[in-house]
Amino acid sequence: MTTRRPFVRAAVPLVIGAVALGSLITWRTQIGDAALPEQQQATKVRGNVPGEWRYWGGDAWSTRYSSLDQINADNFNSLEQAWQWNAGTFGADEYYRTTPLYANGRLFTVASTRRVATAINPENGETLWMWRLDEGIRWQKAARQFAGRGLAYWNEGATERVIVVTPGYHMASLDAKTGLPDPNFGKDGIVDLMEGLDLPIVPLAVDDSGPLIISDAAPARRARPGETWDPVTKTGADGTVGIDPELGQIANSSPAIIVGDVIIVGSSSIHGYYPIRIRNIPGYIRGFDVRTGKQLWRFNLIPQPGEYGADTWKNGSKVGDEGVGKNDAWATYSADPELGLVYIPVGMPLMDEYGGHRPGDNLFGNSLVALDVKTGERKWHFQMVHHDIWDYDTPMAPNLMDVTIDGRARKIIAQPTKQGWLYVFDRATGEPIWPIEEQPVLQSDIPGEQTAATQPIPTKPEPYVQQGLEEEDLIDYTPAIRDSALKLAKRCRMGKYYIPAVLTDGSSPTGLSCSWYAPGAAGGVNIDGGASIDPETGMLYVASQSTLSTIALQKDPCSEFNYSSPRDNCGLLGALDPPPGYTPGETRGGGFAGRAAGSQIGGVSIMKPRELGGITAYDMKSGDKAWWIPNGGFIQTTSRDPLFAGVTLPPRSSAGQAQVITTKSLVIYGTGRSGGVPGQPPQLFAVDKATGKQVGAVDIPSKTTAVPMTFLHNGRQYIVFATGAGSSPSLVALRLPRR
Amino acid sequence: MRLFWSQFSTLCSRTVFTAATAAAVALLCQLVPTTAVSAQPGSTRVAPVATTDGVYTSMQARAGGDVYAGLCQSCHSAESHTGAPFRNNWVGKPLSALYSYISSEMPKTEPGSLTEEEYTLVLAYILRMNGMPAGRKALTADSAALDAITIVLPGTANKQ
Repeated sequence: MTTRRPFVRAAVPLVIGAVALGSLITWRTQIGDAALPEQQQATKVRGNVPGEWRYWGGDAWSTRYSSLDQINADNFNSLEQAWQWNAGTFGADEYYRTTPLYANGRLFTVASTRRVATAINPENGETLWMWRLDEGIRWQKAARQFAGRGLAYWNEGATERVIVVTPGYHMASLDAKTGLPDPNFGKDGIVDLMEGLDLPIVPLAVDDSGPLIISDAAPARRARPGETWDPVTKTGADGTVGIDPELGQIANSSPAIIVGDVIIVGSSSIHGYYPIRIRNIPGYIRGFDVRTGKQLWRFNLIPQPGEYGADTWKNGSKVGDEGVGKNDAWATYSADPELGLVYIPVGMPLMDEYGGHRPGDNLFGNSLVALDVKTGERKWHFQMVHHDIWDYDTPMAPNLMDVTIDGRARKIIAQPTKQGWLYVFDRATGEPIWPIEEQPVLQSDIPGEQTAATQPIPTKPEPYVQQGLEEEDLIDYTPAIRDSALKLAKRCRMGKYYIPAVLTDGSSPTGLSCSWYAPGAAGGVNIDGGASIDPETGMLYVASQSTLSTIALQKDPCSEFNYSSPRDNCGLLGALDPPPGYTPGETRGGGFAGRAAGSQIGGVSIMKPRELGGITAYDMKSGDKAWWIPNGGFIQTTSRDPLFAGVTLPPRSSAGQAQVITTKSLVIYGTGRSGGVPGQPPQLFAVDKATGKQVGAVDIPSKTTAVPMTFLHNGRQYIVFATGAGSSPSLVALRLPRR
Repeated sequence: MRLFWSQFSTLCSRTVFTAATAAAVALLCQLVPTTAVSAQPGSTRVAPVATTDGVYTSMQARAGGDVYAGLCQSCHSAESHTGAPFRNNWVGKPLSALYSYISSEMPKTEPGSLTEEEYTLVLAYILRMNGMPAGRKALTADSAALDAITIVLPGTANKQ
């Protein structure tokens, strides 16, 4: 039910509506449609109008490539700030992880933990309209309470739609011109994504006024009959309905992707670091009619009994079975509109570091899955990590390319991953372009854990980050340095790759109390980084970080899991009662202390600095590495430790994951929120595509926090990127000065 | 290159400048008051205080909240640093211990990768999260000064 009344202030119509669970608000300025150019319907390339940025990844192929060349090596350093759009006026956020879209003369973005959808005038940064949904408890207990990565756009002639998926898991279809919900879509423009999953929908209630505590503490619960809302304590039942919290949580963090007339939307689960409950809601992919919001199909990312892959869950795969949960595809997606396929990078099963409750390979966890856009049928899949216990979610949309390899025209797909390899397939068939071989790996010695005997290792391209830790990886500038590094390295379990965790108390058979963890839980590639491609040259540029940390597990006394990284959930809402003899405080803190431990001597990492992380360019015609650069520069390494006296230490690559796009003539990147050289001003960089040589750098207000985008508006090329966090997230637009 | 005072003090302590500018920066560094850089142990004598005495500014806590939102929040909830976890791990210890822990262990992917100023801001934000009052004096990464500050929860000064 929607009621409408005009907003009394001049020239700003406001619509207030009440949907089943809350209210939605839309306003728009009267700048109107006439002020913005209605562009000709140009021929789309890879689903995008050249010069625009209609998909999160630039186009349906996630190339992050623009054919524009107005901004080039000759003028990059003269870029000026056109405007800065303050997303913080809509409310606080985590780090601002959004890449806006540009279509038909407007910019579209999301903002704030409420995931407000807005349109912006690209010329001056003026807000054209905004839309938000009050989701009550659904928002309060949302597992992904942030602005998210963006929106999806669709048009048919003059009919334009912006699709937003909210933190509380609703999907709205908005008129791109006005921000008003499309009355023909779902119910008053909104589809409740918690419906259509064959899971029970119940009235929700809360016993506290705070958010969900990482991972699943302080959840919502089913409301008691007749329960009402107490506005003073902000507890009770507020009329919101949702999937029974007994089953777990479901949320969203990345935009849907639209292929033809089908919206493909997935889900995000809880974070998997410190869960209490041994079962949670699986990940799903669904197709919806873009005009009506009708659900067309559903693909279960944890196959249910009778479905292909169900036998990879040896203790059962049913929703509610012990160990079953997650396998959520929380990253962005790619598609080939001509083949009619959408490519889903899938995250890992429940519990990041311990799989003892879910023996088996756990399909479709850590897989790349190709689905038929119209039917949702699986065309092919490839599981990149079997039975993951390293938090190696597939974190990023894969990149599609057409290249000639060994004289043969190939339609390929390349999947960058946290685990440091690029997996390359024929995107029609799923056949690997270069052999990917199952190799024996180290086995876990933690009770109950059954690690996969082998893992698939790509023979090509070579990895872009450090893999595991072996003797040859250690610094050896002098014999004394080598001995010290080896002594430190041997304190933790070493290996080539896929090193399983050990127990913190050293009680597992190896006797060690930590394992080396490289790449770590944040990659490799993660959502901050990923790859951009050049469709003209067949080059692929992958941004990653090369890190070394450690991992060790122990029992959380108040969790259902046998093991996790050190954590004590006792006392939290929803946690188990402490066991007899429990003493608080021994493992409290709950940080990542157990994961990031001593890998340094006198401030120097024991891992040799190598040309890893940063930005790696691959020639995908051959699979060979073409060049490498650090993310924003090198950091000089010095130490006062006498061990290094008289030794000139080589510089190391700066940290973090670069955020890369490609244009006609440039690779353009920001350093990301934790990248760059400490002490240097935040900058946006331009490098030569063929050599990696830096050809430009401009100061920006603060570091990029998401992948930038570029477009042509009224004859001028703009580069727009998100930056900031907390109270000060913003979009920054750069353009060349008028001549 | 734009250079704010805080960035400058970071430069002095981190030695990230190039050879061409090294001499000029080194000269300037000598002019920076010792409170802005890591002081030599014992070089400054600081009167003992508690975190309840207003040891950071509200501006610092606010800026620290943004650093926290950007680099910490995606892995941590406030619950990790308040209430029982904070009491059990940190109360009664010098603030330098908490600073050392954060600056050597966090963020997990690249421990030690923030600037001294950023770590100090996050520390101010954590103090505010735990109800410690802001004051007029800014918190610095000076180890002697941090050593002299004892972590005390508000309203518990006599219950150590």
